[in-house]
Amino acid sequence: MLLWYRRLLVLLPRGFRREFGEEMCRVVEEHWRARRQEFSPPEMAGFWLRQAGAVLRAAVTVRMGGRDQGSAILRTLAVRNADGRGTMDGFWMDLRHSARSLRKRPLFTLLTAGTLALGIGSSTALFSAVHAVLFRDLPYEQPERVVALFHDNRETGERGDGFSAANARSLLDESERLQAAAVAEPWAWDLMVDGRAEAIRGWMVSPGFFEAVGADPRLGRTFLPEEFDYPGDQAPVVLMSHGTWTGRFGSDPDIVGSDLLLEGQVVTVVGVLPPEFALPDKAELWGPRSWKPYDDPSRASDYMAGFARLAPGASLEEARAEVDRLAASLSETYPQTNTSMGFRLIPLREHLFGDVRTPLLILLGAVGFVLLIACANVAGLILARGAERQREYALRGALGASAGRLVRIVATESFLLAGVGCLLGVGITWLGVQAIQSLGPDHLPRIDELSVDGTVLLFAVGAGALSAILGGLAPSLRLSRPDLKEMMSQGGRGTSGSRSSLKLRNRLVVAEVAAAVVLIVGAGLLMKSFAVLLDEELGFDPTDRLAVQVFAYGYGQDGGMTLPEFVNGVVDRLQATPGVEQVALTSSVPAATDGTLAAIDVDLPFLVADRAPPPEGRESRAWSQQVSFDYFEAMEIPLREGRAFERSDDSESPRVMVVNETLARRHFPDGRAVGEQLLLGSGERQTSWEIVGVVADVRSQGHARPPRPEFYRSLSQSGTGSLTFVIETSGDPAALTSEAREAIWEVNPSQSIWGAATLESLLGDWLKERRFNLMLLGGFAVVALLLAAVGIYGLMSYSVEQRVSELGIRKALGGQSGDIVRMVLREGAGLAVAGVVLGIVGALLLTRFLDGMLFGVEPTDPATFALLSAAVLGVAALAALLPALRAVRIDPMVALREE
Amino acid sequence: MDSPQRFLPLTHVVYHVLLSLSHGNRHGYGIIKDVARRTGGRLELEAGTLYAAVKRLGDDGLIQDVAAPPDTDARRRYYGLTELGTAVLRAESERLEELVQLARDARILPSHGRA
Repeated sequence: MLLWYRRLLVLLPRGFRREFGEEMCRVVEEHWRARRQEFSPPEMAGFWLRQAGAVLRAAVTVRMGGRDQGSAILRTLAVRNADGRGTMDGFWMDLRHSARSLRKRPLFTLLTAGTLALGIGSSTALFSAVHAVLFRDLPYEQPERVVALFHDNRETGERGDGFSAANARSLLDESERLQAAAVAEPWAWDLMVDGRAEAIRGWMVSPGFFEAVGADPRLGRTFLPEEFDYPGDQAPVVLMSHGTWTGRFGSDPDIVGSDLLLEGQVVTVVGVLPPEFALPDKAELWGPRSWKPYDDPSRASDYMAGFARLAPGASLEEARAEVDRLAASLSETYPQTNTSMGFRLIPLREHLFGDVRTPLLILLGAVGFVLLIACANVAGLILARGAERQREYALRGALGASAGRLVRIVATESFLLAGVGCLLGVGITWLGVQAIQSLGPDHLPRIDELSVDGTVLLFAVGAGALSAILGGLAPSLRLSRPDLKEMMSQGGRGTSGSRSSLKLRNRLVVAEVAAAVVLIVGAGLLMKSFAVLLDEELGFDPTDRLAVQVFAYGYGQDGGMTLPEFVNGVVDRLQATPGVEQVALTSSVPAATDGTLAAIDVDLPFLVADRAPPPEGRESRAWSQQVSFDYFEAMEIPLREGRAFERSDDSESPRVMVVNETLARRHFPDGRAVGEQLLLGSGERQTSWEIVGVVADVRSQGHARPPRPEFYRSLSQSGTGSLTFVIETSGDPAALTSEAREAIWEVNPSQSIWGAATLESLLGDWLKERRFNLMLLGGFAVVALLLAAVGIYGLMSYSVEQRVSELGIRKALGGQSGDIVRMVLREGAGLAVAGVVLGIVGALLLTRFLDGMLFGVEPTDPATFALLSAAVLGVAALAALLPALRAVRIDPMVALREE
Repeated sequence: MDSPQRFLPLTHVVYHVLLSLSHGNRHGYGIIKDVARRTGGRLELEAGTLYAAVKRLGDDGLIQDVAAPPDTDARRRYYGLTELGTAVLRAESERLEELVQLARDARILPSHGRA
């Protein structure tokens, strides 16, 4: 506390501070020590507030140097009344008075504090998400100097998926602007745990990887140079991720130096990486791999993730320029692989978060809107309140209260409201963050790191303070310079406040409605896009289907089990399991996204028999899948022409193939695909496959991407160890997961299982991101609509109340209820219409920023605009109607008595 | 010497500070304690209030820094009245007494004792 007091002293003029500052601190400390025993907690707070107030007062008086200078407001701060009470004591009195008067008007208090709470709460919750994702520190040394490396095609401008080891080595050797360059190769191991094999994913990294990204291990160390040299494929050491250490190994303190059984070999753990380390991506283990195995032909491959660090003093532009030069010279040295190949350097933050930045920034814009709406609401409500208390102010003014005192009264109330609103808002923030965490997609970066932290709290307090200033002081300052005479003459028979305050309130309501329209239209467009997405045919039935993926290699050696034996064994066991209706196999199941299941995307070039081959570099390619004969039936993929596979299609019979509609349409536009022959491979190994059937398109890559040309072959004619068992169940497919795994392990206990997931959950991953953005935006739109409705309701409410006498007179003079309702409604509706029109214009201008997120819907879709504008208008009309109905019930006698 | 009348009327904070120092030199917290005791707890000055007054009084020449008594913390600053300060205090007290007498004459205050 004393520290804060000392800090507060900076408000004092420098000379004064130098002369008396130390002493003041000492005196306060002594004073505090002497009295604290007797103080109750509120008295303690009172003590410090009074001391702070005295510092503020002194800051003013010492500067003014005299007693009679300064404006009214400063004077109210500086002067102590004769009975020794200072402004701060008055502050407590005002506070209690404000609390009492707020309690007497529960609706106003609820609306205002609630508005603030909702606005602050929802905006801060989302700010937490944005802040956590975009602005938190990365756990790497100077992350702004780390870049991700990519190939790109200088002619087409397309960016590759990754980098190659050989190219990274060249950069390392020849670049001066990059001080480190390294690659990481995706890898997987079988870890033996309790006699069962578990597939563990990770990376094999080249020397210098950890230096390039700049990470220090939490425990142990990174790899030593000699650990990169080892015989064979399996490194003798690994680094473990923090999550694996805590999850699989219970934070074992002796983990460093302990051994794991990987791929049948003993491997030592040399260190544990820090908790947030996830480069190139989240994984469990990192192993060392030297540069040696990578030679020229693989220079062109780009399945590795590359990273580099800028040399000290080098800028990104310089590094990019140098790397361009190096790429050009490499394309001459290695024409076979590097022709027209460029290198792209992408800053780490952009690489990690680039994807989510735009939608998150859009959402942040929505945050700003909601906060503004909340402020407008508060301002409007307090303005209305001020108008209502005109009589009270006039009286006080007549009794000698200064303008400053009036300001203080209103200001105290708004600060009290803001305080309550902030506190409630913090509560709502916490709830909101919990909700975001549980509903958010898993791949949203750092989703598990969302929490309400100090920065966020500061933002909330800042938002609250801003709301209080805008909402409270601004309108109250207008009121503080009143023409008392005007107020006295108007008091009682007043219109809803002075003219200018009425206009201001009206404008605020119009602005609120407009902002609400913008938000709601945005959300509406996104929702429509979502619906379009869902309507598109998937091409297969994902319900009640479980997929279990294995990589079955090493069979049929030394007289051991053959692959067909393994497969048949598993299929038999699965079909015998209760709840299983059908079992089929495929080399690659649609919707796999390298999450739970690995996506196996194999595209092969082919030729159509009896046709002129296409020119060099323009060969036809299609994606290849190998399936069991009953696959199409099991997945309910409709057959369009010809036939599907049969048991009789085996290694002895002619080679047959089934193609999808896209391939058939593209290469056989006259519709006669069945009977044609496709040639795969080249030279001596070329094989010919006859098309026997055409099946419907399957969206293998998800809803949003169009189907690609695909062909299927029977597993008995083109075998592979990459297998996914597709199990159709009668009940909940997820419930059979353990039985399915057991079935596999019963046949071969050392067959590792890559993953198991229901097809529906796989699709869910794709859609989750859209659904998440949608829910957030939708939630915001609802909040905005609520707030706008509250604003209109509040305004109309007070308008009616102010005019109780006028309305009473109208009624007494024979005015019909209908007329009165219509009059009030017309006012409210007028504002609403103005707001909606403004909102439509704003939405037309702003929704173009949603373009990247919309699918099948134009940013200016007229149907959406019309429907939602009408909805907002309807809600606004309803909000105006309720007070209108109240206006009707005014008893003329009561009204006139108020006069 | 300046005329003491020039400084009247005094704010009551200033009056209490001068009154407290009239009984002897004191340091900051000592003044606060004395004033609190004297007013029965009704006036408990804050540090900021006191030192704003101290500065003003010092600038006007009504009080001055004095040496700390022996055997006390030499870091503390002690203050004492100047001649001018004493004169001003007396002048203000006389002024207040005049006002009180007028109030008694007008029967606002009872003729004897405290209200």
